[in-house]
Amino acid sequence: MIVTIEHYLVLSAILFIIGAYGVIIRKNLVIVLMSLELMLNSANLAFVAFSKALGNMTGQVFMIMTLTVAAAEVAVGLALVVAIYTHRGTLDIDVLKMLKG
Amino acid sequence: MDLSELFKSTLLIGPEIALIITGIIVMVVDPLIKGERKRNLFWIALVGLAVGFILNLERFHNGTSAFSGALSLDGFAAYFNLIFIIGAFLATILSKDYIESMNLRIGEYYALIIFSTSGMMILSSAREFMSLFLGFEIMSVSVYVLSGFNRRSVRSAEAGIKYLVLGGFSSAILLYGIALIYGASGTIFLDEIAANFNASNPLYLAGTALILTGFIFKIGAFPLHQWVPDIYEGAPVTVTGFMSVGVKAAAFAILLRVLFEGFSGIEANWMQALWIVSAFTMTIGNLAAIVQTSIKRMLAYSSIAHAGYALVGVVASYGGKELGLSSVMYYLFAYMVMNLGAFGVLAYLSKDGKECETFDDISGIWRRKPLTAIALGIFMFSLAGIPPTIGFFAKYRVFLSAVKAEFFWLAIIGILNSVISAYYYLRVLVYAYMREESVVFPRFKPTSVVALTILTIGTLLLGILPLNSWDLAIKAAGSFLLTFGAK
Amino acid sequence: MLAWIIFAPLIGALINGLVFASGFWKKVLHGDEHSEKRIVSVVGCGVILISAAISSIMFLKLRALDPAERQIIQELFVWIPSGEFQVSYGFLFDSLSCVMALVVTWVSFLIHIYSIGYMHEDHSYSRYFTYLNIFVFFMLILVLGNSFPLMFVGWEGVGLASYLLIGFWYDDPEKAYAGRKAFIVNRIGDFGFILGIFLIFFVFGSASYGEVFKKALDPGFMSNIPGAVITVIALLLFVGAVGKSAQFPLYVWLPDAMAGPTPVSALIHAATMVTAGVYMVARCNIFYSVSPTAQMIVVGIAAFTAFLAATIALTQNDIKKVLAYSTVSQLGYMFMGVGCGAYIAGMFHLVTHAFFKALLFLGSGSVIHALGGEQDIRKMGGLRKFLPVTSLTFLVGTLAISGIPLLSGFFSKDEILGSLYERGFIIAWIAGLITAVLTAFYMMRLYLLTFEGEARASGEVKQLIHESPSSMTLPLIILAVLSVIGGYMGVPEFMGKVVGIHDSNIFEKFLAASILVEEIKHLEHHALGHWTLVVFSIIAAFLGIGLAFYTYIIKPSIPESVAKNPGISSLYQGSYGKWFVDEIYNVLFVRTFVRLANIAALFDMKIIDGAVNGIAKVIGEAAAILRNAQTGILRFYAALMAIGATAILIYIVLSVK
Repeated sequence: MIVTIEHYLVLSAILFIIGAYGVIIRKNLVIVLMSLELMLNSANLAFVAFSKALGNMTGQVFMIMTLTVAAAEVAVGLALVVAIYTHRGTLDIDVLKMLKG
Repeated sequence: MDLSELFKSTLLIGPEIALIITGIIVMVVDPLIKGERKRNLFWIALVGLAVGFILNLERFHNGTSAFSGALSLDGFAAYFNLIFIIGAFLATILSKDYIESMNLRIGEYYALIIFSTSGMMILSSAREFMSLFLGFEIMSVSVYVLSGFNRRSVRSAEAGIKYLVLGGFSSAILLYGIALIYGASGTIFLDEIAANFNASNPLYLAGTALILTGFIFKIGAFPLHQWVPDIYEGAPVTVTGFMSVGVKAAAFAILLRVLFEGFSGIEANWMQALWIVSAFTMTIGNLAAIVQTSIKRMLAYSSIAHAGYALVGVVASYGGKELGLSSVMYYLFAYMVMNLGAFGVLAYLSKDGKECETFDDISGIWRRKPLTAIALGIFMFSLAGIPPTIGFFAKYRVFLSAVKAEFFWLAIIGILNSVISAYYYLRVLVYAYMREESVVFPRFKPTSVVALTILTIGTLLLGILPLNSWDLAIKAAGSFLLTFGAK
Repeated sequence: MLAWIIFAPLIGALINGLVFASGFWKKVLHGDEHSEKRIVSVVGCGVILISAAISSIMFLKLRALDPAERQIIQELFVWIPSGEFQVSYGFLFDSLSCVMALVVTWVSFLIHIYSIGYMHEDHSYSRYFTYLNIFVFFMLILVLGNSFPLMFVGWEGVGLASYLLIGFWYDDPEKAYAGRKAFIVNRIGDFGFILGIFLIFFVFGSASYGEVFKKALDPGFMSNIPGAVITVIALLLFVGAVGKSAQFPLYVWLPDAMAGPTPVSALIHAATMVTAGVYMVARCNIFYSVSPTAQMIVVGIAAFTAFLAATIALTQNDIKKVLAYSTVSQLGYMFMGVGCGAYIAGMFHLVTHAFFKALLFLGSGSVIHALGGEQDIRKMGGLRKFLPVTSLTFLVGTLAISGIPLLSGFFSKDEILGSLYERGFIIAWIAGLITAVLTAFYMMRLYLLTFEGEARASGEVKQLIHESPSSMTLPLIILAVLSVIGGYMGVPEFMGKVVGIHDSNIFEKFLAASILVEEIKHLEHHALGHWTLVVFSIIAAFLGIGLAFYTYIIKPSIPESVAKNPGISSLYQGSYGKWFVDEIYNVLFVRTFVRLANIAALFDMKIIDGAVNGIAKVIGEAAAILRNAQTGILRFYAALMAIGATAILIYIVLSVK
């Protein structure tokens, strides 16, 4: 079987949707952060696939930059998770509803 | 692009570099000094912002581009940078007393404000998706941290994590949209995308929609507005003030640039979408604001409504109209002045680790602190769009541009909404002027008073005598249209 | 120089506001309240006197000019300097704004003087004068601005000042609520008004009077514009006027606004602010004159308002409420005048009304002051011997508003009624005549119950009753004199001829320069001549006064029997002997009126307040739904965002296809 750009795109779309689904459905904060990573990386997959298909390097450069950005975001995320954990003693995301209305 | 051009480009982005260097200095110096002397970081931050401000002025005269056209350093960007830098400057001044009364750490706070400002500045001049995304994330990540900055407060931490998850969610959507556009056009430069645009290719359409979604999130407009009240309420009040004016303006800057320059091919379509978004945003923001019991949260909803008013101007820019564009820009400038003022008053009245949030916290300030009460009154009147304040003036022009562009219904919905909004802004004044005081107000804070005075005078003076603030917006809008050779 | 008329009050407000109301000066004077109050009143009244003096000088300058070029324009600076829409800050002093400026400044001055006495014991004395000066400042912007946006600035500004002053005694939540109600109802009007301004800008490409009216007078330009557009403009502007000038159905705020200090009611809610709508219609005379539909609607609403408010005024027992409804009713007269195209007649009534209504309000203030805050006329009576000056001036005001010949109200009201008849608004004319009877009746009733008959105040109160200080009575006397002679500047020519003066109607000749359309003046085709119309008006006035006398002096039992015997049976019970006439009168007039008044009061309460509450309820429920959607749960938000993103995606993809 020849793997075409369409295959990559479908895979990346599926990953994106799984990631989004994870953010919506999972209750553990760490898993939610992981799901976010999955969403970002599905976009990266699309970038690389397009880059290959189009024959220009922009997509790959973009991918590398996105990885860096995502790393920064996760670092901040984990720091906040720690802060939440010290306050609440749990990572359950549904506990966080002091701010509402 | 050879080394000499790289060097030249680096020189051209002086204002951004000045801010980034300042941010790094603040971060590096912070651990080296101790105790009371840490307060001096405040001055470093102010000097850095002032340098950035001065360097930025140059761009009004000589628009240019840097990094092979990745950044367009035109008057449009300069105007927005003005909003960011002034906003950051005044927010920093307001923060000094606030940090002390809330016992927060000093160093990183200023550094983060400055980094986030530099991200906004990159965003406002980006004409290419990589710089756009980079600017977008520099701005966002700094603001996520700032939202959760008050570590002792559960609510602040909650706001931080909520903002991070939802913001990350929207960034991912934006990024995916960028990937699709890249795949369809083979480029990430806006002008080339516009040249290749093909409305029958679904990748373009899906990409446009996803990117639009990402921006709508950052603007805080319907249907992605849910995060706004929670995060604005939980974040430290000075941060809320800063992000409500800075992040919003930056998102508008990039929205205008990407939509008008990159996606002009299906302008009519996203314009209709924004029409609906704008109408809903105004209405939802205003309705929900009416029933709030916390001023801070009420102002958060009001900020949603104001995003809606500004969107009216975006819709009215349909077809590259200078009047509409400049009215959005001016609106964001005006919003910066008055909203920062409103949050500034709340910051001013915070004390001993407790924020001024509820209506009771401002009851009867007229009797104890009449000048603060007058300032609060002026900000509220301005937010409600009552003359002679800058808020009226800005709103007048947004609606006028809508009427001129023949979006009558949108203008009517907008005016109706601003009529409704008078109700809840006025309620603040009823408490401030007509109730007995129920809390002890903090003592006089000289630093914050400087910022509040500037903002009060600005709100009132620019309403009566706009000087050339409006001219500048027109010129900036003109330079924007010139950049990509639109009508 | 022109600008100083406007800025003098602002300076006063700044001084009083920043130095005194904020409490800085207290430290300097070591709490010497007496001298502080003295300085505040000198500043507060002084600035108004300056502006009044300058407007008078300007008036003389204006008169010296050739009638065709009678306008003085002062451009301060360009407000919006950008290419396609230039708006400049500028002031226009033509005969119309001159009349308004003179009325506003001089009446304000008198009321400021009066306030010195009235507010003497109030602790927020300096705040009061600050607000009052702010009000005058905005009112002058409203009348002297040379463009619609500037008029709107003044329009909103007076609303703000009025809001602050109605809620002045904020310790009382009900009064604070009244202030808010006034503000919000006015916003409804403002909504229409600003839409009208936008439409003007859209159609004429400018918002300054000079250019807009020049284009509106140009037949070439106007032939390209559908007539309906002008009608819509005129009506949208009128919506603003309905709010500000308390016409049906937005008049509800005015009676509630009586919660403010009485001089405020006199200044804002009788003499000046509420007449802004009339001024606006007179200013935009071109729009109304080319649109018969708009005229019809304006006159219709005005006539209905005048009548409705007069019927409500019949049964009110609060002295200020009677005057409030009377103001609504008189504003109806003014709108009938300007609405039917008799702009000068409407403006004339505005001026005379400013005199006598300010007088009546100040008089009522003097009474309330003397009785220590009592406003119920059932607890007054017989005050004439305690308050000689007040009662005499009040009587003058009553006679003037009733339209007794040779007093000011007679001339102005008669001119409006005459104009209505001439222009064929017969129903409005009849409504106006009936309202005139009612007006005379309820005003005389008010006077009689307050000042004549036996004193019904309790013993302790009686001990304390005293005539007001001279700072209060002096304005009363001056206003009384003005109420008597104020009408002579507008004596119609057919009356002037009788006494041999041919150049009698100075007011009309002076104002004609600002009315850009030709006024219709022909009577030949009508059945009734000038004098017959006058006779009708006179009969109406005397009929009302006579009925009031009969009811409250000669047969004081009538009101009671009306109140006690509302059943139909009273018709038969009383239909014998000398009560027969009374009973007929009772059934035919009083009871009908009482019932009408009750219906009107019910209408006021149920329908209008109901509509307001209904809207509020719907908004509240919608807000509650939005609030419930904001659960605070992060995952829920993410899901909503995903739905939103999908919706945008689908919308964009589908809309392109």
